[in-house]
Amino acid sequence: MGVSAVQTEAGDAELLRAAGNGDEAALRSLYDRHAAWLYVRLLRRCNDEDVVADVLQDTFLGVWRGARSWRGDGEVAAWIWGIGLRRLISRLRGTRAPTPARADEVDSAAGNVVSAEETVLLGVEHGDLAAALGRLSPELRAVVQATVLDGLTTREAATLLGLPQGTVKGRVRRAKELLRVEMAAPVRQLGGLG
Amino acid sequence: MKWHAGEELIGRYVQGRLDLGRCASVEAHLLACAECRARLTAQVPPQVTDRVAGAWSGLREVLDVPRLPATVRALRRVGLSPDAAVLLAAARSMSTAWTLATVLVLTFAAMAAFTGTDAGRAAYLIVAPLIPVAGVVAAFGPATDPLTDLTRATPFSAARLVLIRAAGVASTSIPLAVFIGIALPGTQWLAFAWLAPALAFVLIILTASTWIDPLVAGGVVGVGWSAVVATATRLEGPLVPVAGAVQPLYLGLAVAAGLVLALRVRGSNSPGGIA
Amino acid sequence: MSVVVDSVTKTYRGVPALADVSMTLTQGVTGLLGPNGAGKTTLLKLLSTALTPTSGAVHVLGHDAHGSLEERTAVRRRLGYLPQEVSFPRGMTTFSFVDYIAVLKECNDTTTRHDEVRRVLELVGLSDSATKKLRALSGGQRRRVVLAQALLGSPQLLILDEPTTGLDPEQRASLRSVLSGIGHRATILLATHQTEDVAALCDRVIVIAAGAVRFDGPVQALVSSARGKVWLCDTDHDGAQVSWRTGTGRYRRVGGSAPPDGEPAEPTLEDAYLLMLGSSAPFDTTNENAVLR
Repeated sequence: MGVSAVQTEAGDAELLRAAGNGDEAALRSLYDRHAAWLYVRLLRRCNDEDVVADVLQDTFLGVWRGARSWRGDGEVAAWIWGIGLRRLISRLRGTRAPTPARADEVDSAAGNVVSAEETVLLGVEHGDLAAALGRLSPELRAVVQATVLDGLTTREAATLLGLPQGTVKGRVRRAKELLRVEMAAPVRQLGGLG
Repeated sequence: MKWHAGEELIGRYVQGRLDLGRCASVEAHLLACAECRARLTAQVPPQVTDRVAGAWSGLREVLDVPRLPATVRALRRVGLSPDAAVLLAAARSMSTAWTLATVLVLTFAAMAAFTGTDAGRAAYLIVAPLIPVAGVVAAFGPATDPLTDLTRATPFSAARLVLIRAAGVASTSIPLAVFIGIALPGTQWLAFAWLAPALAFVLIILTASTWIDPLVAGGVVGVGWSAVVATATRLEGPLVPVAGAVQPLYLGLAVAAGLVLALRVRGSNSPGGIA
Repeated sequence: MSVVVDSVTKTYRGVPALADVSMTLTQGVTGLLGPNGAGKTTLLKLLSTALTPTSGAVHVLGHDAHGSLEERTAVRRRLGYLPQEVSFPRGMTTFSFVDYIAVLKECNDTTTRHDEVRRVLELVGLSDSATKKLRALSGGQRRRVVLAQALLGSPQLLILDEPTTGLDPEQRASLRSVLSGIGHRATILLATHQTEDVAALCDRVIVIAAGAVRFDGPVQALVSSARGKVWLCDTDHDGAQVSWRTGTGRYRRVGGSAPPDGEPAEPTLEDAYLLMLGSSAPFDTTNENAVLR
């Protein structure tokens, strides 16, 4: 898999359509382009490499089987992420509490030195929010990521984090309060939290 | 794309040294930017690359190798070897046309039994065990193997292959025959009563065909059984040949035939004389 | 001496399909050239142990192809066979078909077997179609699937019956490169009625017609046998054995008397083949414009 993942010949949509017609090479190309980031992103939700590797395989099986029914709207990557996240949830359903999403060891030095890219990246969006989120405890951050950023329902978030639904609800409430307090600006910036 | 996430940012993301807010932004960006996805792929540590490659191998196996049919999967669980499973699955799929034809015949026979008359029941009783018999005879020839020339050129033991194919044909037709027997009212017990005779006949034919032409063996069994049932019907009733007291006879025949078959095959005499 | 065919005769209901045929095959690619009905398929089936001869013997790699079960099995273990026609079982995919044959070739270990299946599919250029159902493939692709199974296990004797049927020129070219790669360490017998395949692939050619061998030797020798008997002229005349109009508008004449305005031409394998066949056997050639006098 050391080959360059970006083949300039075909776009993702074309590859997906070809895969829908049984072209395994097209699926392979999609895999080469998307498997790495999907793995990393899933690993940030569930810190178990074996589980995530299984889910990765399962996700692309879903991509293969569902390629026909993709409606052609939006980014293929987003579609793949949707499948991946759902597969992760169902994989974790019925298991005991998994190792919770790791508390990122935020590089304190990196936290202070904001690069030019990051300024552009974040300053336009919600720089204050990022800081406020950083001040939440790891448990609260995990529920915010699950419910707000990943858009999971309380139940799904509970499965992902290996917590009872009541605990998830409580933490979301607390996180909202803390963020509301932290941020002078109206909370509508946070999308789903309002 | 106004901006890109940049190598450094992606690097920190991959290493988990990025806070939640920035992560969210990077992740959202990655969904829309192929270039940065490629950057990420280039930056992941070797253990991630290995994991990803391993997942692909596993996926490819699942994609390429079609799922075995349910019956064969069940047999795998009780010890059928993987290569025999491949052959059995193929044998079953190659005999579907044959099975459909026999289902038709069997349906008519069962409907005859439904009439509730002795003649009807006799008809069903004659036909039902002869279905797997006919199927096994067909297992020797091109009717259930469209690849005869190819298979003959392979080193696999022809005797073993015939047995597997006979099992394949029989295992698709027998459950159907039983099902049809049960489904029609008035024949429930009858639907099972012929199983022991069927087993005996199949083994007798396989054994006999290490000496004579399987078609001849099948013919003899078919005519013989029909005569037995017809005679019994005229004298006492069609159920006599499959009465509870007679069942052990068939099982005994089956065991005896099986033993002789095993001996014959061991001595390199294969059913059908083909090798 | 990889394959020795010794005075083999095969009759069907009194009609001889092969009459007293003998030949010896060694490493490399040998073409078996002849019209339809000449007995090529029968000979190939005999070599692949699918048929037994009425009389005579066939020895493959030191084993009797029609001897005891052990001998026959030994032959089959080293054999790869591409039949002329294959009727595929329903419901199988490319991969499952080749996998099935691989099991019949006694490749028991599942992982090794699957790797081998992928290897041969790659060789014939069908890796991307592994999961497709056989009936969804084109004619040329199906031919390549059957070729793939023949290549399983890198056999020492490869028997190919009309391998190029249904293949387009590009696929023929890649088949040629596959075969020439294998020809270095295996004995390949390629039966065909197309002279281009023989010309492109084979070092040796055996011409067979009406169940008998008409020629057995290097391709060049067969070509040379037509030297001095091929002409190009602007108008058509009688007196040739075979003549036809070429793409350039001139007429090519093979055999018979020399035409008055004819220009001698360098013979091709096709010329030599037509010349040889024209003398007594039924006529058959891929050249539709050819006229047999």
